[in-house]
Amino acid sequence: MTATGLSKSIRVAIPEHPCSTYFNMSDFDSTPEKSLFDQTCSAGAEVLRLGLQYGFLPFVLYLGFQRGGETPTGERVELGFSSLFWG
Amino acid sequence: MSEVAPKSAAPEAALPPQPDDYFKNHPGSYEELHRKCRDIFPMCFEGAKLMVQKGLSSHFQVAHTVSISSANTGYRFGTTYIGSKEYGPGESYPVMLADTDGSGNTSATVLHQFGKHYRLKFQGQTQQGKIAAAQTTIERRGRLTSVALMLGNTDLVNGSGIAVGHLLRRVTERLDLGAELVYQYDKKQIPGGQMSVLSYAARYTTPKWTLSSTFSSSGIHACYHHKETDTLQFGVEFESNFRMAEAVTTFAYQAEIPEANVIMRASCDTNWTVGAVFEKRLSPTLPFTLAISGLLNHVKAQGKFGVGIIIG
Repeated sequence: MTATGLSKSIRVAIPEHPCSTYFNMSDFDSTPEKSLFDQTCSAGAEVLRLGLQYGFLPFVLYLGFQRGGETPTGERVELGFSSLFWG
Repeated sequence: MSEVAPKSAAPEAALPPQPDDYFKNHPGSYEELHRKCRDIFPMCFEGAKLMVQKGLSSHFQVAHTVSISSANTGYRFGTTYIGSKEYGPGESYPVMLADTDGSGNTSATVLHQFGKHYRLKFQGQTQQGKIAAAQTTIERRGRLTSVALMLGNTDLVNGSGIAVGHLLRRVTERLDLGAELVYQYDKKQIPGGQMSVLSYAARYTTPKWTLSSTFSSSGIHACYHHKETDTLQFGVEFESNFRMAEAVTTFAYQAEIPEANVIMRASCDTNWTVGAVFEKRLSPTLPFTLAISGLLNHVKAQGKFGVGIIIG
């Protein structure tokens, strides 16, 4: 069997024998691994996104509720969830 | 017997300027160079809009907006919190604005002042589960000068971002001069990986009119604002882009009729586009405002119409 014939048999073997122990070079992931710096930046961006999307609005509401409400006459009143919509 | 001066009397010296007078001649920030003129232009919108603004206290307010249009249909909730640290009349910090819609798209703005001179602003926006924009600006406000640095959309992984530096200085009582440097870097999108643009700015202010302009190798942007009376103002804006070989001139006016509680803003430009926004307070005692908007391009035969009710 020539080298060419051997290489052909390898290429043919892979799709027909899923349990084959031969490896196809295309199966290897050619994407280089992210460095620690890139991973840290990506994680930081994800934390920022989560904080912006789910945390910022509740935080501003918390600050407003903590301060309390005022009537037009200046009287302090307690705020509730319904204060956001009516009352 | 002659009077003896007290030992603790200090020699005659000029008093330092009071805090309220320190920024009396401040030119403002570079971003607000054309503010007076741009405020006159109508903000046209499309579709139907209902906005309810509720002030729960002098530091906290919420806004509910329901809009129906071809571009944007849905509900938006916004809230504003203003802190209690005062640095001047009507200036309290921190200022936090949050706005979100039913899909979870959120925009956030935080503005805070550190001491008398430094101001920090952060703006972020998420769309479809990703950060669409993030921008941080730090500004130093001197007695006659404003210096700012803005970093936007900084992506350390892909090596892209934009940095903008501003400088604006009051040269005389009426003349302000400034400069802007925009630096953008992106290994993939920009040939050579980076580019920069330097612009110069000038503004001449009189009690009745203001002329402001920015010019660079890529174009010229000039604005003229004229305040004829307290209820009538005009504005002219000229924008040109040398690379695209395009130029647009827009004329706008703002007229107020206090007796009828009406504010009318309209504009027309050299692209044959006419736009107007009509606002009328429906009742002098109740906070109901009707807004009608129209925009028409005669050449393209395209138009937009909008109507809105603002409560509060």
